[in-house]
Amino acid sequence: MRRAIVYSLLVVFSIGCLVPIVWLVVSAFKANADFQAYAFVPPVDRLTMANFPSLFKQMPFLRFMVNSFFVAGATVIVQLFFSSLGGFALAKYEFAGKKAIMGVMLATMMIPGPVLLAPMYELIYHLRLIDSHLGLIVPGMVNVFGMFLFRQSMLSVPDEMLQAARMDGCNEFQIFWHVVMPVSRPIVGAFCLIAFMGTWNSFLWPQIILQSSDRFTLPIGLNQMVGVYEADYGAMMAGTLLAVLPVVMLFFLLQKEFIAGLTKGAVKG
Amino acid sequence: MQAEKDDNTAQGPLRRWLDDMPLGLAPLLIACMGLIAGLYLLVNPVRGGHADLSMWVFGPLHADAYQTAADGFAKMTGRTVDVQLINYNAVNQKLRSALWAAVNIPDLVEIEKSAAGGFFRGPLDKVGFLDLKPFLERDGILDRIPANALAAYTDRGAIFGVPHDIHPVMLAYRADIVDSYLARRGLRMADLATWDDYFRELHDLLVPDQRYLLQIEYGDAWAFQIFLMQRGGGIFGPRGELRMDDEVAVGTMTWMIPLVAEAEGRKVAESLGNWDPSFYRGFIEGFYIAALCPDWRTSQLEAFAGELSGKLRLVPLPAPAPGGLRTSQMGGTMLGIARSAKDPGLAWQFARQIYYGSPTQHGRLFRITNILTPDRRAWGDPAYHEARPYWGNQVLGEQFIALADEVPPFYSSGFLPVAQAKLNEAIVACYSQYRSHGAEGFEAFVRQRLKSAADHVRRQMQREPDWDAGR
Amino acid sequence: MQMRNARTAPYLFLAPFVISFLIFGAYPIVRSMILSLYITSGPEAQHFVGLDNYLYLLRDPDFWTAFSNTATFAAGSVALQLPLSLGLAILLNRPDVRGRDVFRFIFFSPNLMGLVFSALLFMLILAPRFGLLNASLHALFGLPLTTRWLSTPELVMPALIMVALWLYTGFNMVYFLAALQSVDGELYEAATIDGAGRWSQFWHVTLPGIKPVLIFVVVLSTIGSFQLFELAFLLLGNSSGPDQAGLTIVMYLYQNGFLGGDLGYAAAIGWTLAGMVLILSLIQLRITGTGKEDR
Repeated sequence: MRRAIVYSLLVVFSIGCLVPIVWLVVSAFKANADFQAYAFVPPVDRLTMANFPSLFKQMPFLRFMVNSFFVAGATVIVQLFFSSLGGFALAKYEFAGKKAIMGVMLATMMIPGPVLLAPMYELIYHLRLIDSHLGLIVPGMVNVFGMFLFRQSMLSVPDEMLQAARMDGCNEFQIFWHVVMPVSRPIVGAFCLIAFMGTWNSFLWPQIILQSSDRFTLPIGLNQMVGVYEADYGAMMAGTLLAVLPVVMLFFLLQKEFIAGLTKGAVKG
Repeated sequence: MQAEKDDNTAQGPLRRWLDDMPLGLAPLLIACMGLIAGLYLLVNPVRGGHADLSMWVFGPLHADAYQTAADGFAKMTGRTVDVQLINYNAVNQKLRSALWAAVNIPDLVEIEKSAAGGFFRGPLDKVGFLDLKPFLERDGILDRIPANALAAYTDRGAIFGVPHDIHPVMLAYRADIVDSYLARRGLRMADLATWDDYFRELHDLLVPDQRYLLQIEYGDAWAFQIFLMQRGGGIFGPRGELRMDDEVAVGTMTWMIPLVAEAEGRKVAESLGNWDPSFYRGFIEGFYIAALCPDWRTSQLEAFAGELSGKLRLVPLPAPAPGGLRTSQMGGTMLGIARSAKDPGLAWQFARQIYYGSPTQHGRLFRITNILTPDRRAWGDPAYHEARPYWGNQVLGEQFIALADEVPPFYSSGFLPVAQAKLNEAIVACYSQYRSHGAEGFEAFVRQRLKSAADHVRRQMQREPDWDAGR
Repeated sequence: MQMRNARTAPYLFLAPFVISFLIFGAYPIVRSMILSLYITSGPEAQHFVGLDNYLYLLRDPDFWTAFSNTATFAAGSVALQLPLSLGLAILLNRPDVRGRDVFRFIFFSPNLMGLVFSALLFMLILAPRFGLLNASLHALFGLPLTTRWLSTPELVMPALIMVALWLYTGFNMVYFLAALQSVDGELYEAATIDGAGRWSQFWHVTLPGIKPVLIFVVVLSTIGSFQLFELAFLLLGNSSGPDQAGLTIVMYLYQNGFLGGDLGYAAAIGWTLAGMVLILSLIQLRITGTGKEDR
C-alpha cells in the first residue's frame, strides 16, 4: 500500500518531467503548419522527416557539433586538471590567504555575467582570442564551482595517507596525482558530467566571442535560426533534439559514476 | 571496495584497463571526443582569412543575399567582404561592447530599427557611425527614397544609417469568411474606410471566445504603436522629444483598450500570440479574421500558414477617421558604416550595391521576403508587379508601393526601450482599469497614467548630459 | 626540503586559479566598477557622475520592480524546488523502491535540455488555446483554454517559476539523493531503537545528516535565481513581459546597457545586484552557522 503511494508519486512526477521532452521529440517530426494544430501528438501519418533535411540545408550542423565536442571536451579536461588541483590545495593544506581565496571564489559566483561583458570583450580582443575556440576555453580554464566540489570531496581523504606518501618520498604533486586523484575518481566523474553539460549548453559568452559561423557551437548555431521576425520551429526542434542527444547519451553512460561521485563527495558533517 | 574490485575484474580486460586509467571512464571518454573533434578541425580549418570589409548581419536571408552580392563585388572590384551572420541579440551585445572598447568594430553593420537609437547617443562627432548624408546626396539617392524612411536613423541632422526597407502596415483578412458575408449585405471590404466602419459592419461575425474581428496583442506595446503612428503620433518626436503622453496617445489608448478589454460586452479583438505558431493556428482556425500585417509578415504567413493559401487578402488599414491615414509602420533594418571603417568609400560602395543597386537583385529578394525596398528605382522590376496566388492573385508589390509614401515616420531614441516598457505598463493598467470601471472616467485615467509613465522616462532622459555643449 | 615543498605547494596549485582570476576576473571587474561611475555611450563619450548612477538607481522604480520580481522568483523557486527535490530524493532513497536508476534519469533529464531550448519549448507549451499546458488543464480540470500564461502580468512569475521547477528540481534532487546515501545507516537504527517515529527520524537524523549539502544547495539556488535572465528574456520573446512582470535585475541591466546604450548605468545595476546577493548569502551562511564544520 505504502509502496503504491510512493510509486504513484514517482510516476506522476516522471510524467511531468517527460511530457515536455516527448513533446520536443514529437515536434521534431511535425510539419511547421501542424505546430499548434495538435496539442500533443498528431496522427502518425502527419509526422514528417522533412525538418531534418531542412535543418541541414540551413546550417552546417555537423560542423557545429564537432565544434561543440571540441570546445566542451577541451574545456572539461583543462578545468578538471586545474580545478582538482586547486580544490586539493584548499582541502589539504593550511596556508596564509586561504580564507581570502575562498572568499574571492565565492564572490565571483555572485557577479552577473553581463556586467563584465564589455570589459571582457575588450580583454579577449587584446589577447587576440576573439572569434577563436581558445577564447572560450582559456577564460574558463578554472571552474570555481568545480574547485568547491573537489575541495569538499578531498576533505575526507585521511591525512595519514598523505603523510605515508611523503615518507615514501613523493613530492606534493605526486601525492596529488598518485594518491589523492585515484581515490577521488567518483567525484571526477561527477565533475566531468556537470562541466560538460555547462559548456555544451553555454550560450551568452560564445555568442559574444564567436563570429565566423564555421566556429559556432551548437546553441549559437541553432539560435541563429531564431530571427527577430521569423523562426522555423520545426527545424529548430529537430536541431534541438540532435543537439541534446550527445549529452543524454553521455549522462546515460556515466550515470553511475555521477551519483557515486556526489555520494562519495558529499561532505561528512 | 574490495567487492567492487572483484566485480570489475569479472567484467573482462576492457573494464580492467579502464580501471587502471588514472581518472576513470568519464574524462577518458570526454578527452577522446575532444581529441577526435580537434583532429577533424585541424584537418578542416576554418576558411577565410583577411577580408577588405567586414559586415555583421542578423537576418539569415540577408546574410545569404549579401554573400552572393559580396562574391559579385569581389569579381568587380577585387575587394573582399566578409559577411557574418550574428544573432539579433548578439549584434547588440557585441556591437555595444566593440564600440565601447573601440576594438573589433565591423565596417558595416545592420541594426534593427528599435535598437538603433541606442547607438546614436553621445556627442555627434563621437557617435560610432558615419554620417552618410554626404554619400546619399552625392549619389542622388536621397531623392530616390521616401523621406520618412530615413527618420528613424536621423539624429540631430546626421543620417547614421540607410534604410533597408519601408514597412507599410496593411490589414490581412480572411476573405473566405468576410467577403461573402459582406456581399450578402451589399458591401465590399473596400467600403469599410474607417475602423468604426470595420467594427460596425462586421460586428455580427463576432462570436465571443470563438471568433474575433481583429488580432490585437495587448501584452506588449506593438499594436498600440501601430495605431498610434497611424494617427500621426509616436513615442518620440523628430528631435528625440518624448511624446508618449500627448493627446494623440491619449486618444489612441482610449480607443484601443475598449476593443480588447471585456467590459459592457464590447470586446472585439483578442490575441493568442504574436506571430508565433499559436498566432498562425488562431488565424487558420478563424479565431480572428484579420491581423495588422506589415509587408515582411506576409511572407511569414505564406511560410507558416500555408493552409490559408487563397483565403487571405490584403487591404489598406481602415483609417482612424474619414480621410485619415490608411497605413502605419512597423519594424525595419538599417545599415550603418562604422566611423572606424578603414575605407569608408569602399564600405559605401558595397552598401550602395546591396541597398540601392540593381532592381533585379531587389526583385529577386522581394519574391522571397515580400519586403519593399525604399529605392523607388527598383519598383519597376517585374517582381513587384506579379500576382501572388497565396493572396488570391493580388499584386502585393503594387499594394505596398501605393502606400510607401504615406508610411509615417518613426523616430528612434536611446530611451526607446524604457519608454516602450513604461508604455506597456500603462497599457496593462488601462486595460485593468477599463475592465473594472468601464468607460466612466476612463479618458482621464488614461491621460494621468500615460503622463506618469512619460514622467518616469523624462526623469531618466534628464540625466543625459548635454554632450555637445561647450564644444 | 620536503617541509618547504609542502609550504609552497598550495600556492603553486592555486596559481592557475589566481592567475586566471587576475586576468579574467580582477581586470574586468575593476574596469566595470569604474565604468559604473560614468554615464557612457562610447570610449570618447564618457561623462563622470560619481556615485550618481547608484543614487539614481535607489530612486528608480523600475529597478525596484525588477528587484521585487527577481526576489519573488528566487523565493518561489527555492521554496518549491527544495522541498520537492528533497521529497523525491527521500522517496527514491527508500530501500524498497526499484527502478531507482530509471527514475533518477527521468528526473534529471530536463536539465540536459539547456536554457535556450527550454525557453523555446515552453513558449509553445504555455501558449493560449493550443498550448499543451492549457489543453491538459482543460482536459483534466475543465480550466479555460484561453489562459495567457506569458501575457498576463499575474501569471508571468508563476509560469517562470514552473519552468525553473521543471528544469532544476532533478538537479537538486541528485545532490540530496547523494547526501542521503551518505547518511550513516546506524543512526537510523539507533533512532528506531529509541522509538523515534518517521517524522522525528527525519528531523533528528536525516536533516542534520544532509545539512551541509542542504545549505550548499540553498545558497547556490539563491545566487542562481537572482541572476535570472536568459530564461525569462527568451521565454517572454526578448522582452520584460506584460507590465514588466518578467523584468529581472539582470534583464534591466541588459536593457539599459545593451539596448539603451548606457553601459555605465548598467554596470551600476550589476554591482548593486552583486552586493545584494553577497549580503544575502552571508546572512544565509550566518543563520545556518556554516563555515565551522569546514575546518
